[in-house]
Amino acid sequence: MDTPLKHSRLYWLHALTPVHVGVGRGLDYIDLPIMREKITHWPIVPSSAVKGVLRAHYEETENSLVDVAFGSGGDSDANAGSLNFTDAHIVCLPVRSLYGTFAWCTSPMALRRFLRDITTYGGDGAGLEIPAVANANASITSSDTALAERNTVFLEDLDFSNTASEQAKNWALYIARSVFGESSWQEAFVSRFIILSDDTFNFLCDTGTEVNARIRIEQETKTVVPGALWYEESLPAETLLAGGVWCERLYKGRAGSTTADELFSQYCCKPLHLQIGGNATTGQGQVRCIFDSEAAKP
Amino acid sequence: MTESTNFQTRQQQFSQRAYQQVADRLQQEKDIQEYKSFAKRFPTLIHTCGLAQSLSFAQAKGKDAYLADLAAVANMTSEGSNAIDSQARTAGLPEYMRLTRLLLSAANWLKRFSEALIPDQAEDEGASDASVP
Repeated sequence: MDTPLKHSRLYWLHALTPVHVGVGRGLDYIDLPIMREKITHWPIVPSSAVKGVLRAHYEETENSLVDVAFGSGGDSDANAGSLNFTDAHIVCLPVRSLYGTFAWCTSPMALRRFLRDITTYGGDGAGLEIPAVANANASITSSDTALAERNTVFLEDLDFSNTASEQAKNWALYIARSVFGESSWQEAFVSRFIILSDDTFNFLCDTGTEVNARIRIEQETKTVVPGALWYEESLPAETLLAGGVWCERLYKGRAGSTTADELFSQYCCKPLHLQIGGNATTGQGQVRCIFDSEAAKP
Repeated sequence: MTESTNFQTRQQQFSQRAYQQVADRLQQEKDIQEYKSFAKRFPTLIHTCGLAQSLSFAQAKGKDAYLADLAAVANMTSEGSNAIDSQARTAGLPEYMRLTRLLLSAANWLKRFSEALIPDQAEDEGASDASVP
């Protein structure tokens, strides 16, 4: 097992509404696509967005160590931030389901990478194993899950036979406890958690995102302005992403007697309600940001 | 030199075929603006509604010219006129996923060249560079 980074912890982003962290104009059939990881093409929320939004939040509420934690600009007194964030990677993508309303989908490779993050950033991954899942099959938490009917799960227009597995249940419990405080939400999550094959998860990460047509209205005529129709993509509400944050060194000029533990307890501890990405005024980007509850590792 | 020995990317091959199909369609099709409008909407329809439903919708709306072009761009014309539709209905899951991606890519090129080659009309509703915020 890898040695965890010193002074590190996991963070989660839980989308409460669709989230549009865009890349600007796209060349594909979606005019305004979301940001994706190069090697997997899975959606991500980049670390710069996470860090910037956290900084903005704490500048408004409490700012004694904001420059130490997040860095500051300037010609003569600039310093880098002491808190280092990774991009938030997808862990569970919600997908419409015929039974159970929607499913929180993941895959063996997504979990394998997440387990590496858990180990790296000081989480407790004991008992978590990576299941093997064949194409057209799915691993669910139990046979009486909300998703399955007559041993079949129906997601979007894809049908899967399914197998209840202890591995899926352990993962579901781990994520449910990490993200959902209320026991009723934990139960809802476990009942809707599903592990699909990597190929199927890839496909759903491409085609399972939200794509909405947007228009601009001509005030005089109350009709669409010629040419003013575009398609924009969002991560659906209920998406779960996770990343890591660590503190390798403190920039002492500003830090004084501050310790990494203090930075974590001040800026990476309590759950936050944040707005991230574009289209805030149309209700997009509302997320819960949850930090691993354990104290910063020595 | 054939395509297979020319070591072109799949996207290059798609773009060549899509260019030719749209250029030909521009000479033949009476309601070219309608063709363009549908070409611009169809990839998003696949994304939001799924491949099988989108193909059925296109058939129901009489978009045979568009579907023929889509088959040509995806290099599926040798498999018969209804190849796309029948494959989408009968394919197993892995093949259905592959077919969806293939046709999304082909449809994207038809959208691109429809925008590039077919002139805009005032009432056309498609996105333009200037309109995207």
